[in-house]
Amino acid sequence: MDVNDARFDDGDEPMEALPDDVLTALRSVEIDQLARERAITAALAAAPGQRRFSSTSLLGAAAAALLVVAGAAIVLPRGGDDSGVTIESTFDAALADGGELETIGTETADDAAGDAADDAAVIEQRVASEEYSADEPAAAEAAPAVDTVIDTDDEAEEADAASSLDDGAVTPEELFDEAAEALAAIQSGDLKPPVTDCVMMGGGPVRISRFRGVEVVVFADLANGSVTALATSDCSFVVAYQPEP
Amino acid sequence: MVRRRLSDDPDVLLAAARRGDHDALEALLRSVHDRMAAVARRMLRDPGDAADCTQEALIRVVRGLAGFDGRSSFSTWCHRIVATTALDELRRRGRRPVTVPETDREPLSTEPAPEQASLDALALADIDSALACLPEEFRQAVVLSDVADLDYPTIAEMLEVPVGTVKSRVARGRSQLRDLLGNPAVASERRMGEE
Repeated sequence: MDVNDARFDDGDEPMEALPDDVLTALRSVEIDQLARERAITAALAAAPGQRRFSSTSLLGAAAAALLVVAGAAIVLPRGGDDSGVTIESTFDAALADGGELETIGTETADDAAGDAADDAAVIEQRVASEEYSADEPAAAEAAPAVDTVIDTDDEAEEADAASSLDDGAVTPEELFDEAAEALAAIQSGDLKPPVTDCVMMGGGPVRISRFRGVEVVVFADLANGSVTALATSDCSFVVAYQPEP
Repeated sequence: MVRRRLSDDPDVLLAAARRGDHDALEALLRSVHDRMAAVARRMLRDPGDAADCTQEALIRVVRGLAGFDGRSSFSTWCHRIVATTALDELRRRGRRPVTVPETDREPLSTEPAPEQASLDALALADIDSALACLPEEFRQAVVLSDVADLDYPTIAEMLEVPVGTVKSRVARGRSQLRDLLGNPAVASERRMGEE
């Protein structure tokens, strides 16, 4: 049968609708919940001017992390050997105090002002990183605020520090510390999620952060004292840690 | 604990999302995801490809939100985007239409189906198998019409064929689908009508 045959092109064939049950079955497909959350998270991340994740999408990303962690071996961090790190018992203490559940608030003027200050700080860090980049002496020379090319160890360390600030956490311990600080800040009321990109889920904080230049969702599991980071762009693993026995 | 309540009205959500309301955008995406996934799944058949297609389409939806002119409903617009994304994927694969000879098409069930088969009795696996048996052109036309709810001129534009061809493909595709699903009453009625 040739579907391009002219007899099929007249459109005059009797048109009958499919039975309702067939239509319903056609429109019913099994939804992969992990893929669903991944797709929605990716789409939200692609939204113009949408740099923040709502509490729901954070929870979705964290749920995705849990699902993946449940079925996967621990993955070492990209580009380095930081294995064997022992996660301290900060979260254990928090757990002993009783976990908090999700707290959701609304943005206030103070929060907005704080965000603006944070943004300014980030910009300053980036400027510092660009001006003092040891890898790009020509650019450093061209920068009006810099008189000489960096050539001492101290200055190089300073440049590295500025650069690492721009790229976020470098070691998994720093990510863990961020999670611990977030937990403490939430409990003290200093952080008001979701404006702060940080919510509580399952007794552990979930927040958006950066790890070696990659924007990540950090999920801290209080019960296991572990921390997991997924890339916000595609929910792929960046780093996952468990404490040593 | 204060949880923000969002409207269920798609128009309200859409307006809020276009103003940059992140929560409204997320609610909007969640409201259309499953149907978009169904369109992708029925078009591409492979679950993994369908998931990737749905994600890409959702990203296109978000990026194109500012340009949405409201001439169609938001859901129809989303269906068109995912259908276009799926067609792009099919074209990228360079898949050629698969035509199944008439003699190879047998009803999927040997048991006579009741005239009003319930959804419970209609196994989703049967739908998958029946769709797989349809010629590619018929399957695409039926999916675009009955799953994506697109009108004939839109489908014709997407498939780059005349509207009459779309109507014929939809009619033939539906007819074959009914036959394949083993509904003898409807199939018999169709055959008598054609004679």
